[in-house]
Amino acid sequence: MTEISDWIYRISRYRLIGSKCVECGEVAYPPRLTCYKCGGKMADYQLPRRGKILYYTVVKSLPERYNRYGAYPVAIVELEDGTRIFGLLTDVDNPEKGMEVEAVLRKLYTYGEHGKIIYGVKFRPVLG
Amino acid sequence: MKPGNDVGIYGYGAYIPRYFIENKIISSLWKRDAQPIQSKSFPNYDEDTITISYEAALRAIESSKAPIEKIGAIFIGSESKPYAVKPSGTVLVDALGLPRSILSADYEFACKAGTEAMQTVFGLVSSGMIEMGIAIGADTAQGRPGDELEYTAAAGGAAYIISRVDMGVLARLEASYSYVSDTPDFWRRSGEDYPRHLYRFTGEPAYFHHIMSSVKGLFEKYGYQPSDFAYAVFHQPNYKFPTRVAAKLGFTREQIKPGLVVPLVGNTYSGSSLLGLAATLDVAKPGDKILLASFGSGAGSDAMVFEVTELIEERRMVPPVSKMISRMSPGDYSTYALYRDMLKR
Ligand SMILES: [Zn+2]
Repeated sequence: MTEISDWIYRISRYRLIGSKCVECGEVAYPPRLTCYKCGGKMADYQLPRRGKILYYTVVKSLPERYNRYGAYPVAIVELEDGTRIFGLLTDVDNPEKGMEVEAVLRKLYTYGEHGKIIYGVKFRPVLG
Repeated sequence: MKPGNDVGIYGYGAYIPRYFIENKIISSLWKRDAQPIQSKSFPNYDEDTITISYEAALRAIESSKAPIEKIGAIFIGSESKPYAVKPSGTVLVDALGLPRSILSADYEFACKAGTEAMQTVFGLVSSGMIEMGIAIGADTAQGRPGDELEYTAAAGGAAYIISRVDMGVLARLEASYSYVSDTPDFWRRSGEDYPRHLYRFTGEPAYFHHIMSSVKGLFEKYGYQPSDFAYAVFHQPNYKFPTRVAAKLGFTREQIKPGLVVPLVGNTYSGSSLLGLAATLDVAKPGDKILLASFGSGAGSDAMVFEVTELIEERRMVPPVSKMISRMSPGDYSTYALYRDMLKR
């Protein structure tokens, strides 16, 4: 991501807005203009904020700006509408398959000490 | 002050980060005996005042099912803005999907910036300039390693959605009163990482004088007495101050108990009294009157009187503050230092 694309994609990253194919109903996140399945037009689609962890792993080698704190748990999350998306996890020491999670706004990275702070969606265990 | 048109709280939400550090860890590190509270919250490495404000506001919107298309203002009170220059509220407008035809600003008045934001939104809604607005108090407060403030400076916040009473409120604002004077008990100069304080100043001339003045002023002007209230919430920089000011004003331990979250959570600065109000609304019943009195160094206090309505039953925050506290997990000093960005690399 560059500083320009950080800005262009901020809304979909803040609010988990994907796209849905007007022809076949396929859902994509991040959003796309055309469907990768049928080539149909896609329209903005609000994904549900809650879901559960399908698969997870802990990534220990990432670019500096993502990886100041050693390791990042990441997961494939199945959202309440069945959409599966890739996401960063937070506030969790031991992720588990089936763990219920919700999307919240967190800091994703910063451009050094003086640059911008970039925010976006991460998943954390539901508070209740 | 009394609003021209009746206004109140439509919905509320609070947020406390997941981690806490016990005071005994800090006191054993510095070889001190003092342990003003049991533990304090601290933010994860990916949290700041913007993300805490977002979580509190989201919880307020979801728990009350507020019609967000009617929101015309969002003000965040904080003394730990992520940027010195760049508003925090604009991130929230786009992250929460609020209308872009909206007023937004960051407020600073040490620990009372949150109630200051509430007063402003009450005024805007009461005048009819906007239908609804959001006022937030949130902080990731800084305590210099080894300083007294390190034991209590915590992270958290609360958000209040404010509307006219005829839109349906869970608590009606009856009256408010504000009191300020130039009292330099605590400050942070531009570009400094940590605040400074005159320790002898923080008690009598600052905290006690300003809260006593705002509450007594409110009581004298509008004819209240402590027995009128089911609950009272005071700014809570530690355990001693709010319990002592409550006793001085004639309130009982029972009246302040539900809102006293400081022993486990710490002082969340601009979030402090608002978090206490949220914990009190979690247990309040229709007809209960609640007194809220904030304190901000520098110094000043806002006192407000609310009366809870029947709508409280369907609009309580999910999950309640007590559950948010019980889900917290302990952190050690090294994790605290890493997440608070205190380590040089
Ligand atoms: Zn398609």
